[in-house]
Amino acid sequence: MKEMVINKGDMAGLLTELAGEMTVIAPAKKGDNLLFEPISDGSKAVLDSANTRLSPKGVLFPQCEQMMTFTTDRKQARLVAAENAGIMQDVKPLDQGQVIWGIRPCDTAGFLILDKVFNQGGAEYEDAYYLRRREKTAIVGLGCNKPLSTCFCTSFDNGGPFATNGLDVLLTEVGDKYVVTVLTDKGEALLKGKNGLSEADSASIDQAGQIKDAALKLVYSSIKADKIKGKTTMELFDDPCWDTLYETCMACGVCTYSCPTCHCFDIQDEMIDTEGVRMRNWDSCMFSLFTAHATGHNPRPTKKERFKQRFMHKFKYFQEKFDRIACVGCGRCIQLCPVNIDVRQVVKEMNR
Amino acid sequence: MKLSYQIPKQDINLEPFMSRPPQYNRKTIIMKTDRVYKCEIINVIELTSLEKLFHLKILDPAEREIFYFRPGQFVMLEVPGFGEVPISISSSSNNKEFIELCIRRAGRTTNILHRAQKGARVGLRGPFGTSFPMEKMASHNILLIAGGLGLAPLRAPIYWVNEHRNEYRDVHILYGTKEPGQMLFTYQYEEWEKVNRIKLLTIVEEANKDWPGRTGLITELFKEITIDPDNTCAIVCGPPVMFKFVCNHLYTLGLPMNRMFVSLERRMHCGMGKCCRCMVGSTFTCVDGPVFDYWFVLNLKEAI
Repeated sequence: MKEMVINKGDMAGLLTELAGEMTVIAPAKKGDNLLFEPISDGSKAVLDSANTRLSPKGVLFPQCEQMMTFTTDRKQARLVAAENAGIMQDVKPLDQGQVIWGIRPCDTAGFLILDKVFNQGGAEYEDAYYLRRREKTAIVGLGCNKPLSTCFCTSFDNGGPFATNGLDVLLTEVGDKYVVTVLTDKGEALLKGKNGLSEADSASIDQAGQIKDAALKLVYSSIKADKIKGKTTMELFDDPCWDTLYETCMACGVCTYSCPTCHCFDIQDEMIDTEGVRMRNWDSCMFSLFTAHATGHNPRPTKKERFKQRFMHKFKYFQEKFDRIACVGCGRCIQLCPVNIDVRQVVKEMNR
Repeated sequence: MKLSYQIPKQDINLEPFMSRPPQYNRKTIIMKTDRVYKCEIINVIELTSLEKLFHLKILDPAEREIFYFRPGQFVMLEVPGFGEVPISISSSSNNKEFIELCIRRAGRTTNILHRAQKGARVGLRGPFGTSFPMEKMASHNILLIAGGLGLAPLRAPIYWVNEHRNEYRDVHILYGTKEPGQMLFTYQYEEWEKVNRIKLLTIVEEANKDWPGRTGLITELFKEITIDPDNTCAIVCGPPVMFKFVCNHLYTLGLPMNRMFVSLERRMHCGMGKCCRCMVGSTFTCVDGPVFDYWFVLNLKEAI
């Protein structure tokens, strides 16, 4: 582990320099929203704001992703024999590396959860699209000096506002400087010989330690999910708490789209004339068509079942499967929910 | 906490599970999720106004050789530009020449497939999922119960039983549909009964004037046969509502739940346990299913 410092004024220059070598993805304004966007000018990066509107999961698992392309002829469209029709071509993978700069530790924990899903069970079920992006991505985290009132990142073993799991480099804001903690070889290679970085003095390191301790105390909400593991699925499923919790839900899906760990997706073919692509798009288990069969039968017929599915998946099913709760405590779903459904409240009821 | 299904305790572990309960994060050798076989439709047989039987031949002889499945597994059939659909395999696992898929016209992809002619090319991914434990059912009586389109996935175990007929004792097929016109594979009934010594009982819910057979629900057929609960295995496949009635009826007849096998159906998109569409509890129908024993199904909420 190597500690360095960089002045805030030099950060833009460093990012611009990095952008010459690879894709730099950092929080940047897009319209009114703060989102993780590729930047070429380092001064566009906004590193002093709290959580971005959407989580950065889209960097590794894009909202719309081309999986394969194909050409077909007009005959194939009517399914008559055609020699070369129907051969899927893989799309070109990323040709250069990328770095996610200024990601919060909670969002990084989201990637660790997605890793489990897309790398599930070894070679045969690996998701190549996710993994080949993941391989080429370095992650530079930014510790959270001032957690929001909706944050609960210390719950469920997530490590809190300065957790280093999954990070290559951690930045800590200290006055007008950032203390740069290099955690992995990947991080070291990333920052090697970059302008503006200098050896850290012990005063800055001490100060960073104090800020870290102070930030931990600022995470007010802490929720317990310890009893959920011991309960059976049947017990939780029939719990009377679901009868009232779901009622206000409008099934808009904003919680699933903004969540760093939600990963349900949809695969669709799109065709213009004879050129087609197979797309993978985000989907949401809150939508009624998500499980609807072609026969009209729907295994989750009402909003209640769909609402229950989302929370049961995150806090019970995922835990059964991967021994980890699929919630990182970023608080986006609490901020964005139009009807004030609070995940902390739901877990409290489930844990009763 | 009160459970909605009160399952008597003594039923648990009366005998070891015939099918393994799902082991999460395992890798099955038989499942191939990433390979797409290019196929040609070599024959189309119209079974009813809604269902057609497609004979698919994998074009590459080497690939044809390595494609192997077990009864109960399914494939993802893809029509580029229209989509991919999960379809259970209706042919014998010994048939190396072609794969038979019985497809009902229901959605976008299946509608375009129904317009397909001989010689059309499609892609095939798979096989996916778990299968019926045919070897473990040996030296048992077999009860194959199908409703409607449920005969399509049962045709693979029927072929298996026919090919290993001496290993099994009495074999019954109970088959019910809504109307006589919806009966599938009628041209094979005589062969099954006479050549393979299978007792086939059919029933329809709404008879027309040409229907000489029985009328009523499929559970009516149980009155005509005697079941030896200690020595019988059942495979049940049909619409979701049928599982509950048939399996509960079998249970009252004394058949243990871990010797009843059902094949669940779910909407699926990836086949790799990632898109979460086919999720039932913590179980993915595409990876851990579609074949479950009834005991396991009752312990999954929303399964049927």
